[in-house]
Order: sequence, then structure tokens, then C-alpha cells
Amino acid sequence: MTEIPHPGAELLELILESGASPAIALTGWIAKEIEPASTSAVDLLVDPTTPLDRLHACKDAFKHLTLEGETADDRTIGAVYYAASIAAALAHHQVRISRQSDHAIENAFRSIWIDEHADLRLRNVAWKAFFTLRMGLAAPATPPHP
Amino acid sequence: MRDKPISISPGDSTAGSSRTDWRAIFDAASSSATASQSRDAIAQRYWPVINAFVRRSGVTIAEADDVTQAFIADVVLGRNLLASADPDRGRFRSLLLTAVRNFCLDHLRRCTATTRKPDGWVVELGDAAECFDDTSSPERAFQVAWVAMLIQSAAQAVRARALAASREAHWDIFDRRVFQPALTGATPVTTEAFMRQWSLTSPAQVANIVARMKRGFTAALMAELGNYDDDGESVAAEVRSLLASTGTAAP
Repeated sequence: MTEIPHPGAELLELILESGASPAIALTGWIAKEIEPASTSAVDLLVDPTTPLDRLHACKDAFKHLTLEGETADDRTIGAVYYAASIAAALAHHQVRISRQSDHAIENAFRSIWIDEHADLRLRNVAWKAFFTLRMGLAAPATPPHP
Repeated sequence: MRDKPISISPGDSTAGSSRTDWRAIFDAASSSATASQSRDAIAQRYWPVINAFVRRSGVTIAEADDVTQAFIADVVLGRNLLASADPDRGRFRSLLLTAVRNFCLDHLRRCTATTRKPDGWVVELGDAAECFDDTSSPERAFQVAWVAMLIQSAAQAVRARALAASREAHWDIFDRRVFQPALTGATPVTTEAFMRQWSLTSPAQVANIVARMKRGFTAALMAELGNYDDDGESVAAEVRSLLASTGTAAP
């Protein structure tokens, strides 16, 4: 007979989800708020089937983390995932979801792809987004997310 | 059968359910001026866990509270189980479980040794022992109650911290989005409802609050677990052990 999980299991599992990095765990929980089926922020951002509205939501949530994060690590990783959300929209949908200058966006993408500690899949998305932007393949910036 | 939801009221903080760590256990076992207070706190804290085991161990419901009381008085306090607790020798959870298991077994043996069935033959001791195989419900009831105790303590700490920082919204969002749904199966309140209730301006705020509160709760829960293992690296192993012993496969 298969046991049904006891009511506290989901809360105990938060400890296992938290892993070694509190900041990474935070991004995973934010991603889960946006897409409950997601397993991590990186998985959500590198998935080419993630819809554009979810990437908009990621951009907003990670921007909030960049500005309001509790720790310096939170704010730093918030900035990386904020840029990665914009990159994902460009790479997967060829749509620009930021009104920042090309120069600012390209710098953000470059900092991701040269970061040897970053997830390789995320670095590839940043590179593809950079290329999309440089080649003028992206649709113009969309109105702010409602 | 699904377990009855754990009854947790983080607002109902009492002295008996406040956090107890190894220092409190050592203090209770000592002859310090605060030893009596520590013993009372420990007795109150572990009552539900011990009682959960006793109720599933073949003792009648009417007797369960008396047997629990007897165990606490005779073993935990009387025979000074606390004095034999040693972080280097393993988890307090295991020590307590073994002790209550043996106590209940002795109790049932005493009862069954004098009990004759209608046809005149004496009940075999094995009848009582059958309650205590590894997959029996008393063990699982103990572990589930232990998890409930940890969760309750962690929730009280997180709620108190949020309220002290005037972050009622943070606690409310965590409580109705994560905590209660996990414990009772309640439907999580929507982002839009929280935004209306707490005058938040974006879903991003709600997502960040939920994530932040999850982190705070996780830290509080790890601190609770750390009280028993006193070794940060073994906390994950302890979680897997608790999940396994309560019938849940770790992800």
C-alpha cells in the first residue's frame, strides 16, 4: 500500500529545496510562484516553451528582488535573473520586454555569458539573446506588464 | 487513509511549547536552580509526541493519558532519561522513541501477563510485541507528531518575528498561501486577493514575500532540527529520515 504523505511533509521538504545557497533557493521559490510546476528559476528561464507572460512576470519579480532583496547576495542574484528574464524573452520569442538601452542590455547579457559560475544553459540563452539583439531580429519593446 | 491534519496554532504560544535545545535538556538533567523549570518545559513539549505513540500502541484511549504521564514521571524525569541524552551518541528523537517503545511494551506485558481469555489460556507476550514492528502505526504516529512539534515551533518563531517587524502582511501571505494549504489542504489564496487585501502594487511583491517567508520558515525549521542533531550538515539527512519514517519519499 502506498502511504499518503503526512501533512507536514511539504514544509519539511522546503529544507531540501533550500540547498546550499539561500539566494538560489529564493529565486527557485519566486519561480515557483510564477510557474508552480517549475523546478528552478534557471529551468524556467532556459525552457523555450515558457510563455512570454511568464517571462514578463519573472522580469518583474527579479527586478523587485534586485531592489528590495534582504541581502547583498539576494540583490546581486536578482540582477542576474532580471537580465536573464529579458534574455529569455529575446532568445525564445524574439521579443524585447525591456525599455533599457541596447548598451545596458548588452552589458548585462555579456556579464552573464562570461560568468564561469553561471549555469551553462543560462549563459547560452544570454549569448543567443545578445546575438538576436545585435542582428536586429527582436520585436520592439512591449508595453509594461499590466 | 490520509492523516488527520496537524493541528497547529502558531498564535497559541505557551511556555511549554517554546523551543527546547540540548542546553535545556542538559539543564533539566542537572541540579541547577532552573532544572525544575526546564523539566516542566520538556515534559510539556514532548507530551504530544509521547502520547501519539502511546495511543497507537494498544493501550486503551482511557489509559493513554495515564500511561503518558507515567512515562514522563518514571522514565523522562524519574529515571532521568535526560541525563543519558548525549548529542554525540545520536538524536534525542531516537532516544525518546526507544524509551517510550520499551515502556509501552513493558506496560502491555504486565497487562497481558495477568489477562486470561475466556477460554482460559493466557495471552502470549508476542501479541503485544506485534504492535512494535518497524512499520507499525505507533512508530509513524510518533514521527508525525515529532514533525508537527518542529513545525509548530518554527511557525511560532517566524510569526513572532514577522509581527515584531510589523510585517503582518508577510505572515498572512505565507500562512494562507503556503502554511495552511500544506497542513490542512486549504486552497491557497490568490495573488490578486492578497494584493487587494494588503494594498500591494504588483504580483512581483507577493512572489517575493512568499519566497522570503519560505526562507525564514526554512531557517527556523533548520534551527529546530539543529537542536537535536547539533550538526548543520546532517540536517538534510535528518529531514530525509523523518520523511521516510512518516511514509514520504524525499524528492
